Amino acid sequence: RGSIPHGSIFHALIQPTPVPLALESVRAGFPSVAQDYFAGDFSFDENVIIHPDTTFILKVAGDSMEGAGIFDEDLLVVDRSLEPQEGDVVVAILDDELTVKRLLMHGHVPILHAENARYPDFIPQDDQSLSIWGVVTGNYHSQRNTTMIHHGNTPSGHTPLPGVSSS
Amino acid sequence: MSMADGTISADPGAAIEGIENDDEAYAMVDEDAALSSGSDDGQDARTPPRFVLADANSFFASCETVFDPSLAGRPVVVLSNNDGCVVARSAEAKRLGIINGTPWFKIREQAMHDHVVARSSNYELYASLSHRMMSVMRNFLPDQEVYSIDECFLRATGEDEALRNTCSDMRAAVLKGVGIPVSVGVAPSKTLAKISNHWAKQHSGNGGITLWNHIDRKHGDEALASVPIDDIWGVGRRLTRKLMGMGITNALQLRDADPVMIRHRFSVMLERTVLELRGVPCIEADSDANGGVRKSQILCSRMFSSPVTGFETLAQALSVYAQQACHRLRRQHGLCARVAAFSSTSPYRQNYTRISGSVVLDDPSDSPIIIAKAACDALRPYVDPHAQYIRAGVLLLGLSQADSYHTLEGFEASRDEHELGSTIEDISRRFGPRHVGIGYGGMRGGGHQDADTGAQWTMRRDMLSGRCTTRWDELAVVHAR
Repeated sequence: RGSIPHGSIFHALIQPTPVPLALESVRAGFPSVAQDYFAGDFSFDENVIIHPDTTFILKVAGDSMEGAGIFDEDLLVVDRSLEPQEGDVVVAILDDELTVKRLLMHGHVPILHAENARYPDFIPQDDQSLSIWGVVTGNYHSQRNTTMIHHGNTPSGHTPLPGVSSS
Repeated sequence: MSMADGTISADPGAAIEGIENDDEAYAMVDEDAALSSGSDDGQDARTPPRFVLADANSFFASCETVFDPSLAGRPVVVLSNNDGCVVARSAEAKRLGIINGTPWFKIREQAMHDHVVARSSNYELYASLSHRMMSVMRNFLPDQEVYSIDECFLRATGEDEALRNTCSDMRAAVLKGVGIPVSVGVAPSKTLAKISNHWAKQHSGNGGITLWNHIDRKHGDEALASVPIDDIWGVGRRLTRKLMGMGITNALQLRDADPVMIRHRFSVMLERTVLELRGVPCIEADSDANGGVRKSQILCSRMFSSPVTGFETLAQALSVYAQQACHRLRRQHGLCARVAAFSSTSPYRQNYTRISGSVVLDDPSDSPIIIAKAACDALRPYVDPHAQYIRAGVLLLGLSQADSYHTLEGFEASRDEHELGSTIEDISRRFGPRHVGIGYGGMRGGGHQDADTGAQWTMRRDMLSGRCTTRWDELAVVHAR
């Protein structure tokens, strides 16, 4: 009882996508061709988050990972679904806290390495196993002396430097 | 899961006695499913469809543990809105004998002594993790029906072992990716899937997955005989008493009862339960829970942080709840025909009273102004000016779809013509909830992290964890030291 005629499926496939008419009135000259192609800007997270369901953003507190380019107050992008590999920066559970370290192998023993000489590595004892919370896929480090963008908060006014003009 | 109060309750009808349905799950018979699985098609080698029920273990407590690993293995309780009652417990807290619904103040001292960690309910976090968990599971078995915040039905076919492997992978993916442990029951009907799931939780050593076929093969009728009648999905407290009076005290006896007799003496719904216990699927997808669309009613109720006296103050609260209910109504493109409101004093004090009233709207509406006013009007005549009210709520009834509402000209629905509701929603989306609203609904004050209004009756949530996935200023911290 093939109730769906094949013709209608084919028809649906060749249906052209409707193209909106010019969105604004143009008084003279040609309408903007670019308008037809504009479907909204890309978003940053769709490029850096592969698995949205299992990716979490955490905030870094401390300086033990500065060697990896991860600084205090940075935003950390952590994907829990990834299998941790040697060399990955990971979020581990240490002393009941979430901690960011690099996962390295000491022979056959996985250890957690801090990317700052002032901090020791964590080497699990015989009966301990490492508990990995997620794999860090990236971090966002603000280069400006402004607090992280909160909704509604506009950055505090910066006075222009003498002799520097902005275009 | 049962919750004393709260807006995410799976079964809002349970919160108020005497108002409508408690068997809304049984919307319609899935005739196709009933027919196809009841008869075998002879040569057809395909296995009949199975129902998979996946249900998070101690969901709220598990959510709290995701961003706070120190809670792992500890007794954790989650308190209702306003830190009133225990609404969820970790396995360790259950082992201490703490019961859901217990007022926190009654057990606080003992709980502190037992090192119980109490958390205010962080529904924003739970909803976010629920969404992620459901989405992950959808990748494994596509035909998903989200039944409540922490459980869903999925349909599956295939051989037992293959199905067990799929469920096992699904369970592992949710645990690893979202941090939530789930139990899975697989059975030929939803009711049996529920029972299998329950079994999975009670009997360890099955990897959190239980197939009804295996239980049946191993334990035979003893399995159903061990399930008390009031543990069966869809058998409420009211039915339990009547069934017990007839000598039906467990699932086996209900399964073997005469379905026709059950239909005559109870309802079609209970007859379906009998069939489901026999492995004949006949409970259709519950569109009530599907996509959050509620067919029969929308409830919004809360407890106050301190008792409220007098109509004026009560009306402020009603207006806020009406707007929240309205928001949900609009989200499902619905109209409501009747607005009910209720309020009660503390059941733990003397002179416990409960008042309620309802107003039939002139025309079905989705306007927050009309609905908020109706909610106040509904309760106005009953308010005792001296009573100390501790909770209140608004209920929208007689729901219909806005698109399908057609009447004679001149009798159109009182739609929200000024787009007030959508304007309020736009503003909320941009600036956070409750910055604008009708009446006191818009008051912003010194509440917790701008979530609450400044009015005196708003919720107390002293032990609230961070809303780590939905608020930029409440992100979980990861230490670099």
